[in-house]
Amino acid sequence: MPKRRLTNKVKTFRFLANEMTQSELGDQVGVTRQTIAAIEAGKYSPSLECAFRIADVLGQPLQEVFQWE
Amino acid sequence: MHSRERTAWAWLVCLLIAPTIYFAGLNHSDWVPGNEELSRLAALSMPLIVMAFVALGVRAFNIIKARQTGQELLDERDQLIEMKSTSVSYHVLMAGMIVVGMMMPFSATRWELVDTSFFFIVLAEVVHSCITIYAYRKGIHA
Repeated sequence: MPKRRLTNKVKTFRFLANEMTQSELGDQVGVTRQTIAAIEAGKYSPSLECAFRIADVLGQPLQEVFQWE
Repeated sequence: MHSRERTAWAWLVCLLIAPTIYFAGLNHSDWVPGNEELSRLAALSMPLIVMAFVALGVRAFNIIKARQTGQELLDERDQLIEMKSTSVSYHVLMAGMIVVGMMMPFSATRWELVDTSFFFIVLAEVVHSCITIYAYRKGIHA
């Protein structure tokens, strides 16, 4: 099975959500600013629960925020 | 920089300097005749004391930093990094203990056992720090 990468549009939706900062998003999701930065940079794949929380805070469906490349 | 990454850097530098000096000195040491045990114990305690001071210093620095900027939350990414680095370093330590505890007792002297044990403990800690730093710098995926 070919290995596919998880990509995301967290940064885009963060800016669309009144230019929310990484720190603000992290506080609402319950993770650190560094973790949000790592997710945006594709250096960390969040848990399912964390991904749902991020999508919920950004007001988007999960599949809009996270996709398979 | 996350406090755990900072701690891993400080610990790695300490581990690469203090025990290296000890191991390098082993081949060039003239132990005090009649007091070899004591002088070897003193030599072994030096890197341990340095490492203890570095650990205390880093801990104190992190506490001061946390008071200034607020306590850093330990989230799922930190826990994953800690779990992976601990898991790999545990296997390194276990491999070392098998060598020291099951193979060396039949051929090595007691100080060779002590030094080899110390070496594998340091190696496991170096591996732990390297994986932690790599995971924070380059990323980690479950």
